[in-house]
Amino acid sequence: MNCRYVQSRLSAYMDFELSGAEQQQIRSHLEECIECSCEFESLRRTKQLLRQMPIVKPHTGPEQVLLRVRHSAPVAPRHAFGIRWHAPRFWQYAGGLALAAAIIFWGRSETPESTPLTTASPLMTPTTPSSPLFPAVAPELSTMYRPYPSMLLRRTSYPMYEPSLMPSVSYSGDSILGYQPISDWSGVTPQPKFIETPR
Amino acid sequence: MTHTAVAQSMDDRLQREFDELVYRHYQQAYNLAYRLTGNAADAEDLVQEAFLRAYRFFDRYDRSMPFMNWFSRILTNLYIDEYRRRGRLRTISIDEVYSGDEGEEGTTMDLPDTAPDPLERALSNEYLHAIHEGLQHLSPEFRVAVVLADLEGHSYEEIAEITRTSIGTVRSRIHRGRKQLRDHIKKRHPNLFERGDLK
Repeated sequence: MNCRYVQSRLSAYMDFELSGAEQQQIRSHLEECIECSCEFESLRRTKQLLRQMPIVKPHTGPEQVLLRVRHSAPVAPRHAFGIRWHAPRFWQYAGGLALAAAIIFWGRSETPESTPLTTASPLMTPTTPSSPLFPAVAPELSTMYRPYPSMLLRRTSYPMYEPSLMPSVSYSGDSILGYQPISDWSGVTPQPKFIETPR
Repeated sequence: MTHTAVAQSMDDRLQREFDELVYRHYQQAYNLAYRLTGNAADAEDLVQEAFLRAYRFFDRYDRSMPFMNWFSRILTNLYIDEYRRRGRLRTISIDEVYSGDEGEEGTTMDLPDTAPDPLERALSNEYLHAIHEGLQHLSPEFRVAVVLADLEGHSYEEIAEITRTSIGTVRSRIHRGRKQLRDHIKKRHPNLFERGDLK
């Protein structure tokens, strides 16, 4: 263990951030090497000086921060339905899920009871078994829930998972659903569907 | 309970929790910001902006992580990226002559060497100013690492988590930061490092 190696580890040694064996090796070296010992002492003194720095009191209190937080534009406005633009993700999706459930139940209530489930309704065309996106694992289900092409529904913005310096999220489309159809599809009302798009 | 009432209740709960955290940690946050920015005006701006961002992303705050660790990540990221990009970092030349509180340019505050331990005199404003000024000479990454370790008392692992770097990087930044700081202080106040066995 040479001096160069020891001196590169002195701060970590001082902070007890090395393994036990390495701590012991460096301690043994410091007992023998005056140069490394002096280097260690000066670094230790630097740390002591830093730890004596007093706590600085701010001129303004936390009320100033809270005041600014309350008046921050992207958060403060509340939507007419009681949902914030930056509300938790569950509430962003709640509206969409409720709408989807309503459309599905409405569609089923229109279907005559005598109609078997495997018969396609006028609104729902059976998916071809050769579809590469939706293989016919359960054809009876695919006739009921025909998936739409992924291009029809696209998220207009994406929630961020970690605090970062990215601009704040704002929905240019439907602020409740968080997505909007970018085109109509032969007169069929597009059903909400959440599509994982690589970011 | 209606949907709006549920959303309102959740918003109020998060709001109260956030308010409490601001009140509890504002002093510590300001102190961290002050040591990073080096002056009160920038520190207040930085703290307010950091709390604003914390509020925007508060629904994604992992409660298993101490709030100050999470908040320090926001604040230090904001400081390094935003302030550097804006060029608002107050940089001081390493050769700049220290200006004392009396406004006399070019003076160095050498106190009579009568105290048994110079460290005991480190509480004087001149020494504190020298240490504080020395911090401002460090690069933002080194300064963040040194401040989090020696002023805030974080472990290397916590600093790695806050700055999203490896422990090896943290170890290197702290060590190099301390050495640069030591050289700066030693150049202006060598008596702080003079003590018997020290050079």
